Amino acid sequence: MNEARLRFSTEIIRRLGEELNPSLDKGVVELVKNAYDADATQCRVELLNTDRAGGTVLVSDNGDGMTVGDIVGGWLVLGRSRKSQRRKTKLGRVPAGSKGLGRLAALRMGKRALLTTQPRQEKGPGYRLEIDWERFDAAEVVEDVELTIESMSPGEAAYGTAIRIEDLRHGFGRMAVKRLARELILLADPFQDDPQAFRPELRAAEFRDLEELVRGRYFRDAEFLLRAELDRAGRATARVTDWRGEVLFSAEHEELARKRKAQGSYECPRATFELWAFLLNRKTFSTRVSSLGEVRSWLGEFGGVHLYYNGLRVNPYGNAGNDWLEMNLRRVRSPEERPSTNTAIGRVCVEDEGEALEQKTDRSGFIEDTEFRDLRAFAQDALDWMARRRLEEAERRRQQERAEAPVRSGESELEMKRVIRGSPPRIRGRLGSAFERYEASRNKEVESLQKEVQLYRTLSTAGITAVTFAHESSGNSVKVITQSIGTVARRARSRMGPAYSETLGEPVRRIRRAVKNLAVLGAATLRLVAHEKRRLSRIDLHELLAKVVKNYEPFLAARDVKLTVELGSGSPYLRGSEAAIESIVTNLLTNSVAAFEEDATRGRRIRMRTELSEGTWTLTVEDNGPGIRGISTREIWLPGRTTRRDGTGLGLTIVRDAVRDLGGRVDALESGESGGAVLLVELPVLGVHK
Amino acid sequence: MTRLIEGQEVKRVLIVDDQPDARGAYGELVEDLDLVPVKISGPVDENRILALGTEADVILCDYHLKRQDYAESDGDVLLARCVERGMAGVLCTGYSDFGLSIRRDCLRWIPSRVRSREVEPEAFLDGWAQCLREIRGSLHPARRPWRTLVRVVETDLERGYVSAVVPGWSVREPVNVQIEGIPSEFQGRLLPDARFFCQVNIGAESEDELFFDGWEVGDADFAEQALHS
Repeated sequence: MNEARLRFSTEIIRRLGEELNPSLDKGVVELVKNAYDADATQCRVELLNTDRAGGTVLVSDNGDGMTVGDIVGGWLVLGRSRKSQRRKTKLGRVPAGSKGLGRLAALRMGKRALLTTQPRQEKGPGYRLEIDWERFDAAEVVEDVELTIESMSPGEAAYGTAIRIEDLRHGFGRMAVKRLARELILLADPFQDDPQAFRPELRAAEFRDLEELVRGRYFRDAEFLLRAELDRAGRATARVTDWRGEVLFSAEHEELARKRKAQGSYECPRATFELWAFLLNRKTFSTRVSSLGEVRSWLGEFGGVHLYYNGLRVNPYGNAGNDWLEMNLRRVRSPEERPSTNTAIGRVCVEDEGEALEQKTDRSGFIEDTEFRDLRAFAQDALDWMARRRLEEAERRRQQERAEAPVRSGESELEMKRVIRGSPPRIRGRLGSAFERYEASRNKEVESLQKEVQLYRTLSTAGITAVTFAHESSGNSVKVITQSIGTVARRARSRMGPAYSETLGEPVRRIRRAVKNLAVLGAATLRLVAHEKRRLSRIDLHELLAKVVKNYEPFLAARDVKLTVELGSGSPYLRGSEAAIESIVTNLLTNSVAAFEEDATRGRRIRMRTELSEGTWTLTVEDNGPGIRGISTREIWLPGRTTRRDGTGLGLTIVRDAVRDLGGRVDALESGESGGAVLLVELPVLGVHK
Repeated sequence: MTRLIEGQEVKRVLIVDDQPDARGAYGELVEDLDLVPVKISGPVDENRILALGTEADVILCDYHLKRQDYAESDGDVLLARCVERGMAGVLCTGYSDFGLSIRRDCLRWIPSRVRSREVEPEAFLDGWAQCLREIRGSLHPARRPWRTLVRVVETDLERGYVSAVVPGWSVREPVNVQIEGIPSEFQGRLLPDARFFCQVNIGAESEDELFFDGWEVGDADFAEQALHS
């Protein structure tokens, strides 16, 4: 019998190395992850002349190091990783490294790779292994190349591992080093106060700013730093500084603890709370070294407020999904001025010599007793205070802008006139009159906008009053009338017997009908202002149209208006707010009803129909009223234009604006088949359900 | 006259409403049941109502109590606290339920609601009977609480709601739960996809009958995974 085994061509190694495309960041980070998995606290990446071929990359750490068994059975085995077992390390880290192929890709970046390692568990001198890839290239099969693990001389290395990749095949530019810096930051503990934290370091002489970036992480990109301190007596102070370190606001205990009973002390150990808040928008980051995306990823990984207890980090506070200070919930109330766990990073450091805070027996955080609740209240009060101050500041800014706008406008006008005066005489007159015309039309526009704003304000006030009335009537008056008429009916029936139906039956029914109509109208008014209607979501147009029409039925019935609705086939939908569609439909209906009243139309009819064609939904509202008279079909959409007494002239403007917001258009015909006005709304739809 | 409801003698009915006219109208309705109305003027809280337990046998409580300086909480909160402590009652809601927000934690203790548009005296008798049966531990299958999984879909603090799916009741239809009715220690955890266990009456036929009580953090292993994912 002859023994045989499968053998691998060295070509496989070469191809794997090429196909894995070892970019600097991906390759080196794989080695850094190995250091992290080996429970290193320090890991240095040195780039020596790597901007061109022939350079050297050195990755060294103070982790567990490797024994000969680890090297032979793990490090040199390609395609299988011990990390695949996903067992936590001795320091409780979740292994970050992937398959051994990533390491191959990294080691193949150069023509030679040199490993030196000193295992923590052995007192011996450590080991050294050199891989010369040219020897593999010259051999036929992988097994033909023998590798030697040598023992090093005593004192040659401290424990840990160092990998030196020499004679790089390609150079790496700034973008590659920047990507590497970003990966290192994502692996690093953000605060690094914990002695067991992982602290990667970058040394790259050509890119000092990136070295600095890894050292400082992205803290310098924060717009504000909140720092609050709580002394032994439970008295708090806080201040907010800007990105240059200038103090913007500061507060004493009374202001911070204003919500506490008698502004009392916090009953918890001494603590400091620091929060770096970022403004994640393109404008802010347009002049920074870091990009918006990098900072966003970093905050996505580490954002939130972490808790350190006597120098050690305590889980789960600040972990993904743990918003123990309720920053995200509070931000919903005031998104403009509140940080969230996605836009801020922070820490609360507690110094608790007296062990006032009590850890849960399963070590999953602290027991929520008075001390812990007060610690949380201290941090939350500081956040609330910062939000209040920033809101005040924003409001002041807005007021100032409003006040400055006319002044700036006046200055521009003077400047323009000065330029015209200094222009050559032959064109001065023409320029002057052109500017006067421009000024006149601009003033007219401003005046019309001011009128429009005033009209909107008046109508808003009317709406608020209507809502208050609806609340009051449905909750009180309607209830009392309903119950009282019930009592009248019951008692009269029992005392009068059959005579009740003849004498009181009909008036009681009439009152009940009137109350029902009143209640339905009240409810319809309240529905209009329901908050969720203003949220953007997918709107099924036909479903919503039917709902609005149903709400409006009592209103139309009370005015003897017969409405017919003809819906086209399918269920078209778009993304928008219910409120927008509702205001389109109700204003169109109200427009017809007002026309009927004005004209005293007999046999009032409104026909509403929808059609769908090539992704456009058309709503046509046609009535048998007087049609559009005394005003052009173009003018009816303009604010304040109306031919009716007491008309606001805003209903159709609201329709036009709402339709425009949804990307559609409006149109009108003076009269249609029924004799009255025809108003058309066209909206682009996202799709149609059959 | 005294009526025997579920074996309990009922003679006097405590009427809780912030509007004197409404108390008058409710009083007439109670009189038509041959019972004695005991109208309570403000300010009221559950301790005062329970102290009046010697003067009345059951409660008729309106939902809206805060229009005037009458009570610090709405009728659902006030009545739930009284029923929890053994005094039967019925909650009256407005003509339309629009804008009404009966807290889901309170619904646990309020088996009987009557709308003012449906007010016929017999509806109150049925309501008190159902409440008395629950106080004695006899629950209709639609009202029986089960410990079940609740998954947060989204939180809307502006409106004060968390939208959650209760797979044991419906895997598709999210239910709005008022945040103020959720114990404060859980409020900070109401993030999308967070899991909890709650006592929910998953036999309820409609969404507005569902109550949520007895909140617990979801499965510990799951929570651990979520924190590290």
